Amino acid sequence: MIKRFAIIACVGSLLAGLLLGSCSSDLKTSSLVINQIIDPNTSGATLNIALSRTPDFVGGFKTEAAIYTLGSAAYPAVSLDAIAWQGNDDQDADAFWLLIAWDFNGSSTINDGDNILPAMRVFLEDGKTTTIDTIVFDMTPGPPDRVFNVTFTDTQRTFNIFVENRNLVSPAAPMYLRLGGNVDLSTAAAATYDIPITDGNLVSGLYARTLATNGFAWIDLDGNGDLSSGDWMSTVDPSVPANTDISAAFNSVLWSGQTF
Amino acid sequence: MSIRLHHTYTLLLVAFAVAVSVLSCNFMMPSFNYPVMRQEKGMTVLNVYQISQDENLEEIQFGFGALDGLTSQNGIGSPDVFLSIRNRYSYEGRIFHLFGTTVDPLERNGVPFDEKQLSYNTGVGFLTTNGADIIRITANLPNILSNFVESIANIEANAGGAGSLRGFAGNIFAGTMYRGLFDDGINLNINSGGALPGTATFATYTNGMDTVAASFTRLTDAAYPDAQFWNAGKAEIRRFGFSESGAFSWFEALRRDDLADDEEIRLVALTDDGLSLKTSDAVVAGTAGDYVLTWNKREAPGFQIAVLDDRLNEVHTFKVYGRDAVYLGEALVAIGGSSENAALFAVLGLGNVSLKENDVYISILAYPTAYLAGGAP
Repeated sequence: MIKRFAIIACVGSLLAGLLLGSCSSDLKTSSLVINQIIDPNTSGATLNIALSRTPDFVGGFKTEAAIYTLGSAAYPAVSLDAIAWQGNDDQDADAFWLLIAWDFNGSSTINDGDNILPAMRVFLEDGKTTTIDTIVFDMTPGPPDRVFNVTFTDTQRTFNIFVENRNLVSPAAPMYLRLGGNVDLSTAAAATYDIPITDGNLVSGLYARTLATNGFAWIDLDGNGDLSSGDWMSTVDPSVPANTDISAAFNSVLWSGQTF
Repeated sequence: MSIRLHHTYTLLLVAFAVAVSVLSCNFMMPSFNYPVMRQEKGMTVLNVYQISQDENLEEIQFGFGALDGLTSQNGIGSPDVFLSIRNRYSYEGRIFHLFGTTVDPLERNGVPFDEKQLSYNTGVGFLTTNGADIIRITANLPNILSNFVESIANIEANAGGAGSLRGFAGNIFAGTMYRGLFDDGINLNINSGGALPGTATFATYTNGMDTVAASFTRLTDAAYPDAQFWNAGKAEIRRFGFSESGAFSWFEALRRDDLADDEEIRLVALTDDGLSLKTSDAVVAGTAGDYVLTWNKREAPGFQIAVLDDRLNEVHTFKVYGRDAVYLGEALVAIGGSSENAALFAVLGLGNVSLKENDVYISILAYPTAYLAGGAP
């Protein structure tokens, strides 16, 4: 009798396995946690956060979203739990884009005139939580500005960035995307934007809408707030026009062999 | 004896398990290979094209299908057709230009165009968009050619403050050939015009996109809290069309969860008097006569089309048969010695059972618009 039950159970599980296997789903699940979002000079502004497959701020239908009030005591600041995403059978991780914006013009929707960080590429792993410790959303007026006041008809720019050791990136040693109209961007004052990215999970790719003609990425290794000796940078010389042409920054490498 | 019986049971159960597993993904999936399938009453075969394919025909299907505007109104035969065919391994389909008895393969030549927003005016080729402009796609052997028609920015600038252009269509059987769907952030406006870039608003639907957004049943605002800020357009407008004789416009609104790879589509019909905005989950095929055609069932071999009126009420259904089917649009064609307006379809057939080297047969079918309200006599 026991043997019969065993056979039936065994065949039953085989049947279930075959059925499930033949119609398998490739739905993956991940979580994203942002411990804190800070603005050193502003509090009370409500930030909108979204996760998207594309870096497009205004297109598509965003389904993973959250809000966070700057200066709030909430910790972590944002938790996007059980993010369901579609992947291949053998795929453990995939790229997404983190979007952060403040509704500067009070329109209740994302549009021209809002303050945004560049879209930041982040990788999520199936069944795991990706934790971002700190994001800086600094609305202190520049120059250089630390966030974009965006016009969505401006030129789309994607910056793919390889960092030799992304664990070096932190609030104490941010990676910056420096952009401007000047050909010599060796000082922050010469730049229109110098946007800090303060977590190593967010440095692999940035997407912006900008009319800037020059730019590069750099890491403030000594944390003094401006480009100084020993900092890594994606150009061999930020005072040479050809080196800071924005197209040179589309595929950037930040490594110990190229310093200021 | 008992052990042998158990083995028999086990083998039977395993065989059953395998059979159920196989059937679970293949049940009622017929394998058929007819070059030209028999069609229902009222359907006329205008032309059959044989295309020798050197590509794998596994899961072969149509991509887009469109009529040539110039020859769609001459009423002396089958109009020229542009369509694409793809297999399971190709992302973009191979484009063909079918005219007379000739088939020309066309290279894409890096020309970007939206394969959903297709319509036509009285010119050669078909109208679509490249994102920034309304363009006309024509054949220029061995390539397709993109011809500038008008910039979207200029159409918006000449629309009397109607807002952003979210849908555009031409219709050669309309007295006023062009219509645009505009969104001013609050209302939806339908503009029409006979010569671009100028159009004028003739119908306004107050809070139109809010009504459309509220009609979604699965990808709803409530299901995605905190996401309203990001969904400024409330839904993507994927297709737009109109019937001047039926006195309505229609569009396809789409919400897509690109993380979970899930999408929901609503068909929206707007009557020309500005009084009615109806939505439905029907899958649109295109405009014909006074109606909008939708796919009730889109699965080989029988593709069932529903004929919907200006309030999305079903007035008739009919079928086309083939391995795949695509709606091409309305044309004036020769049927039985006379010229008639008809809804044109392309259907796909294969020459033999081999799934490797093979010939593809494309039949151009015409269903008179006179039959749309109640079928063939």
